[in-house]
Parts: sequence; structure tokens; C-alpha cells
Amino acid sequence: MSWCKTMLAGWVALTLSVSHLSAQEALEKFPVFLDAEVGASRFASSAMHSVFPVGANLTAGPVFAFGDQWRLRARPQVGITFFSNRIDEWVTEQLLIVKLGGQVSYDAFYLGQVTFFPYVAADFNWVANFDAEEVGEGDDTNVTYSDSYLKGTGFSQEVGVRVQAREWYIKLGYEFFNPRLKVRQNIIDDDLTSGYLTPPNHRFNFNSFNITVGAMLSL
Amino acid sequence: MDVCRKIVMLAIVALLWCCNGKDTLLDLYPMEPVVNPEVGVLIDNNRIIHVDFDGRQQISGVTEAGIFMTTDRFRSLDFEPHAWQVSDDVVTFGDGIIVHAQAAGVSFVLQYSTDDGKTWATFGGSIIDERFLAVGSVLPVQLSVAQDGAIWVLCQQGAGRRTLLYRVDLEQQRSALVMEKGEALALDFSFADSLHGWVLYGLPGEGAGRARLLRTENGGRTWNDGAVLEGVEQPAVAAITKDDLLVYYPDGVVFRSADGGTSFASVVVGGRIVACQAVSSGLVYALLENGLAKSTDAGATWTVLDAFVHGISVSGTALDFHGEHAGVVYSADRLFTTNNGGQSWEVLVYPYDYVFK
Repeated sequence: MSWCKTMLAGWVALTLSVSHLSAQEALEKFPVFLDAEVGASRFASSAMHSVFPVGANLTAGPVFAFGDQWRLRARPQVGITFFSNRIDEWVTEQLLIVKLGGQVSYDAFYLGQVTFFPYVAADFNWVANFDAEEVGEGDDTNVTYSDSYLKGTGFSQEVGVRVQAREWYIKLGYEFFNPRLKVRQNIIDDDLTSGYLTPPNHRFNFNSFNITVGAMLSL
Repeated sequence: MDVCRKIVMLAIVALLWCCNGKDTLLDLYPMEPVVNPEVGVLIDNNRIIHVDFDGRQQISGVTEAGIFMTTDRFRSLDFEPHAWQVSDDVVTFGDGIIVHAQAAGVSFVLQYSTDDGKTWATFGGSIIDERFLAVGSVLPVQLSVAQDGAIWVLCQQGAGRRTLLYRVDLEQQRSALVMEKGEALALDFSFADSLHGWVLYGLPGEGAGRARLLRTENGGRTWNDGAVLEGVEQPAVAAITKDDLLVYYPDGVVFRSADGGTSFASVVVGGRIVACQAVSSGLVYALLENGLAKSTDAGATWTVLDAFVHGISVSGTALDFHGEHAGVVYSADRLFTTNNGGQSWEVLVYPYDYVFK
């Protein structure tokens, strides 16, 4: 929990300092925008994408500009990535990743109306793997969620390029993310009863290709 | 632009719900089988009969369907199919030898194998004296391999007519009667060394519940009466030293003598003794119905060991320790080993479901 608090405090401090700097820059006319983007993620490892073929991601954050002609952009961001795998008619396995971090991009060059921004991003992630079960039918359908089978945290880094035309943009990136996830204790106990030794935690390869479509909205 | 946004959202939702995967994330979580699934060959439609442990890495043994050997604690094992040819006869296992007594007419024949039961040789001479056979059949009760390779054979004639103890020298193909007790019912015997030994017997007239002891200090040339133990049935005797011995019963009662069997005192071991092994003059292990107990003072006081491994209680029907630290405990479908005198255990064979697949 102290990790989470430290991360949150750091992110708030970063946001405030960036916004302060940007406010000074804003005096020189550059407005603050809000990036909002949605897209798809596909795990790079075949083992992972055999379980979760594709996931959805959603990210948002204010964009601040610095430097010569405001070509350097900084964006504190929050986001979620969500993977789903239908196990049977009623039960769906879900993998939820909540992200908090930042992204830095640079206006490298342009071709006509299209501007190219190479970017790097770093996030702290909270990961949970659980089941969602539908109970009932029709309007009486309720969804109940199991306790997390696996959960953990970890840092991720992403590199890629953002291609922007007016307020719309597409991002293509590769994310490096290898979180160490803990398994629920009763799973360890059940495995042992069946004659299997299960380690308390394991590092997963969550590296992924991400493609997102977003808009830079005026605040 | 609004249309574009809707198209993107719909595409993502469609991707999410149409592309379901196989298995689950938990299936990618690593887990190791506690025992090598290949050990199923020892217990799947088979059973472990005897295990030999060299005190280091090598474990070999006999199963009903073949013989096995491992030098790396069953991470790999060699198994040679060979049917166990001994049925319900009296059998004993020594260092590199298996001996069994098979009933034949009014007596029995002694067969032995030095290749884990693949081939058997028969003791050529007659073991039982003709004068005994003339008055009735003699059946083997128990066998034991002495340290010098000789075979002790405890026999019973009739239901309480006579108890006999023979010493058989396989190399010389000779046998010698070392004890004869008339009007006695053979129960058990044990030798601490080549000279000091005890025979437990009962009197037919007294019925079950009373056991008497005979003691020799000269390899069976002479025998002296020892203590009479009351209120006991189906007793077993375990020699520890030339003076120390235990007599124990299936109901959990244990008596110890420190004077060669002249007198006994009750001791608390901590459970019903299944098997007992004296590793040295002071150190004794007792395999209990549930767990294991250890004595470091020749059986006077006992400590029940916390014998658990991976949630399983260490249990079995036999034990084989080499020195103070290294030993195995096993039964027909399981095998445990320790390297630190029973402080911690490793399970090498166990009837987990995956072993039978």
C-alpha cells in the first residue's frame, strides 16, 4: 500500500509541477489540451494471447507543452487496459490493468497536415485477474465478481509513434511490462493437496502491441 | 466525427467479445509435481514390496511387477519388469539377499536370491531334524538375516507343541538347531549382534495375553529365561544393544528392558509402533501408525517427530535408516526420505492422481 501512496503522491506532484511550468508557458499562448484515447492491445507472447487474444485500452490525461515551438509534450495520464476471455456461457475471465503514469512525446517532423510524434511512456500498474459470472436471465441478470486469482503491481514502459492530423491521432506502440503476480493462497493449498508445488508469485510476460485512436480536446 | 467514434467503439467491443481465448491465465502459472509422475510404474497396478537405501543417493527395491533403482531420488528411475514370485510365504530382506521359506510337505524349503528376486536358489540341505518331522509338521514363523550373512529361522511345530530356532549358513549349506522349546508358541525373535538375542514365545495353556522371553548371550548355545510380560497380545521384540531391547504390541503398549530382558518397564513412545530400527547403541527410530518417533537413549525416552511434508503425514509399514541422519520410510504406495534425522522429509513416491494417469 505504501507503494501505491508513493506512486500517487509522485504522480500528483509531477502533474502539479508540469501544470505550473505549462502555466508559465501558456502565457506565451500555448493552450492546455486533454488527450483521450481508446484502442486495442495484443500480448506479444503466444502463450498470453492464446488466453486473451485482444484487449481494450482507455487512457486520458492533460497535455502540456514545452521547449522550442512547444514541440516537447508531457502528459500525466491514467488508463485502464481490459482483457476478457469467455470461459463458458456464464463465466468470463477478466484481466484488468489500471495505469498511472506519464508520457513524453516530441514533434519530430510533419508531412503535409500529418505530424509525427515519437513517444515514450512509463506507468505504474495494478493488475487483477478474476472471473465475472452472470447470474439470472434477461432484465434480472446480475454480474458477480470472484476474488482475484492473481494480482500484483509493476512498472511498464512503452515506446511508439503518434501520428496526428489536426485534433485526431493514431498511436502505435510496444509496451514492456513484466509484472510479478501473486496467486491466491487457497489455490496454492489446493494445488498442494493435488500434489503440485505452486510458487507464491510469478513474473508474467505482459509485453504488448498497442494501437490507439485518440483526440486532443481543448480545455 | 461522431460516426467515426462509434465505429471505433463498436470495433473494439466486437474484438473483445469475438476473440475468446483458450484456457485461463492461471493455466500459465507454473506448478511442479511433488513427485515424478513416472513413479506411477511402482504403484499403479503394482505395489512396493521392499526398499533398499544406501544412505546416500541410491534407492533400489522390489515391487510386485519388477525391480527399480534410482540414483537421483526418483528424478529418473530404472524399472525392470519382473514378476515377484513369492506369494504368502515367510520372507526377509538382508543386505543384497532375499530369503523366503516356502511350505513343502511337512516342512519347508528355504530359497534365496541375490539378484532382487530375478533368480532363486534353494538351500540344498535339510533344515529340520528328522526327529521333529517324525512327530509332526514344522512351519516357518519368521526369518532374519544376521550380520554375518547367516539366516535365522524361527519355526513352530503344531499349535504350541514346540518352538525351534535354526541358524542356516547358505554358503556352507549347513543348518544348526540353536534353540528348542517344548510346549511353546513362537511369537518373535531379534538379535542385537551375532551373540545376543531374544525369542518371545507363549505357552498354549496360558492363551494370548502373556509373553515369555528367552535370552542367549552366546549365539544360541545356551538360553536363559527372561521376564514374563502380562496383558499383551501379538508382541514384537526389537533388539537395540546386548542389554537394551523393546517389546511392543499393536495396541500401543511398549516395554523396555535395560538388563537384557530380566526386567521391563513401560515406556511411552507416542503411538502404536509399526516397525522399529536401532541405528546405533543409543539411537532408535520407531515408525508409528501416524508418524515417527526417535530415541537417543536406547529407547528410554522418546520424541515424536513432526513428520510432515507438503501437508502429508509421513507414514508407512517399514523404515530403513543408515546412520543417524539418512533414512527412508515406505509402504506399498509411498516412499519418504530424510537427510537430517527426521527433522524434514521429502516425498518421493505418493499416490497422487496424476501418478496414475
